Amino acid sequence: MVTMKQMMLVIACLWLFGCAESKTETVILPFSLNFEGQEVTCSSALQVNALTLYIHDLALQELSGQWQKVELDNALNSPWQNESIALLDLAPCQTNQMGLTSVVMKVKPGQYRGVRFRIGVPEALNHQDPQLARAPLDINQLQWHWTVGYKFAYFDLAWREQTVKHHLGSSGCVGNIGDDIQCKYQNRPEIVLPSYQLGQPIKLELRQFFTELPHARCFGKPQDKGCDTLFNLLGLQDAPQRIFRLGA
Amino acid sequence: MRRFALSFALCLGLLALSVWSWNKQQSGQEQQALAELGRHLFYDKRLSANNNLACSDCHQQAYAFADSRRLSFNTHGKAGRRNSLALFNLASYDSFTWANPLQTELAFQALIPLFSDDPVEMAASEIDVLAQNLTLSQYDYAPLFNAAFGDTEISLTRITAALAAFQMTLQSYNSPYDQYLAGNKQALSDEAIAGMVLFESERLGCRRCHGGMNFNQTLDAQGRVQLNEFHNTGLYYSDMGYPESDLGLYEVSFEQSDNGKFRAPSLRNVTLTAPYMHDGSMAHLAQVIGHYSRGGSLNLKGVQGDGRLNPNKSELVSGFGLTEQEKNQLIAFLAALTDSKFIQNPRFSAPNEQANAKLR
Repeated sequence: MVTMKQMMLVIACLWLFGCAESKTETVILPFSLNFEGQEVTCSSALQVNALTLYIHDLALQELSGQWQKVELDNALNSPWQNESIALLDLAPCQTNQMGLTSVVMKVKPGQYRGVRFRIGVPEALNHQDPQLARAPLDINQLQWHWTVGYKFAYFDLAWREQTVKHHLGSSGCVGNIGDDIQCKYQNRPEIVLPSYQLGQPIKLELRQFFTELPHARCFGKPQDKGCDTLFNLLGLQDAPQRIFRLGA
Repeated sequence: MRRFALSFALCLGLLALSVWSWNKQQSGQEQQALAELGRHLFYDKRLSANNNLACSDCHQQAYAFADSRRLSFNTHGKAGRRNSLALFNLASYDSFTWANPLQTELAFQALIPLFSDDPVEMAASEIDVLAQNLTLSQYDYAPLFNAAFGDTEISLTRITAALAAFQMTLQSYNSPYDQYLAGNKQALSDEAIAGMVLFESERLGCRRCHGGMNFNQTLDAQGRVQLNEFHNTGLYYSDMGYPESDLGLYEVSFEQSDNGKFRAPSLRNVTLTAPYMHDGSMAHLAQVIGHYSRGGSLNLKGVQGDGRLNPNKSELVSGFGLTEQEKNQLIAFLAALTDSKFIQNPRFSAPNEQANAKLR
């Protein structure tokens, strides 16, 4: 028999839980593509055949300078994200969308001055058996089977006579499947954008991918000519990243 | 009382034994059903994007499951960059493919030809579409999946497990050489025996990289088997080093010293698996022997440079003198490693559509 006391306890619990929930608000973080400062659309001179990114470790910087880890909200039960990792698909006008164009952050109300996130799949998930992986890591096209990992970022771009095709992921790996796999090059760039205000969108400026190479490729092999530009733009070398910026 | 206890224990033991053997038989049957499903999938072109390429197109039984072409072609008719490897006695390998020590599981490895986009091979669809496509196959998969898994659900894990199970059944140990070792002294000609002596000799040193029952294991100075060994055999050494189209193990490991290293494949059925080397650059065994005799190749495939001078070249490829007669003897021995029963075994052949239809 349920006593009054027990009922009260349940109600109190629910109330407390609900209260804890309401301590965060949801804020949308949209992503989009720019080319020479202009928004990329279906009719842009730049053709985006594919552009996907895995992102994780999202955090906001408080005015004090302290970084607050941010969980992703998945109220809509999207197949392209879970609480900790999201798959972005930023190619415009697609028939088969393979990811999100924005993520929903669970944010503690307050003022912030910066946002940061990491591109890639966290190490703990990167070498799992992809056949058993849960969304959004269950997509064959983004699994990098020959390195037993994932394509953290996937670029397939064309402009005028030039093409850019990049697969970014951890490389130089040794170990056994199902056991421990260690990689010499993690290749998970951290993107830090200062002076961020809640609600601001993030833009990727793609013009810089087109260099003097007519067909730039980085498919994770040491001889690939396009890797230097890719790594440099993403801030994997000594200089900071030059792709991501905050929009108005 | 004691007798009772004894017979009770005996009964219990017998019972356990029969349960154990029933289980074993049961799991044996499951394994068989899994391999049989895998055989159908292996021969099914519907695993590829254009329904025109099966595993068996690049791994043909007549060539010991290699394909006789210099390079294999993908579902779009485009040549890849490597020569198809033969498939047999796969348990004797620590890893699969030409130069990737990460590929230690056959089921996982199957994902590469199915889904790779660099290079594109079969370009299979995501599993929902693939499963749909398999329902249009000439083979009826429902009873096959049912026999292997107890229900008819088609999943990627099941497909790759079945493909792996079938490939593990490809056993080839019935060459004239095996018959000779088993006591049939008539199985090898005198010429082949002379070739065997040369093959085993320190002078030629073939066994250093082609050791063990399957001629694919590297042995160290003490004769111990080394795992996952890859070698640069001095095929190329141009101004660029190795041709950039394929740098072998270096592409996976990012270790400069691995540049140009590839696996030492088994020499069983070697007369069936021409052309040779990771890039199919050698058409005949005589050319391969010439390469090892010289200790490296000069201007192979028109790539200027002397592979003998490649700084990454294995010290085991040091060259040896060989007369024309000895060369022929060596070839006669290598030919005696061919298992003609293996390439005719109907258990490994394309499944019969009609036989399958009767199952329904």
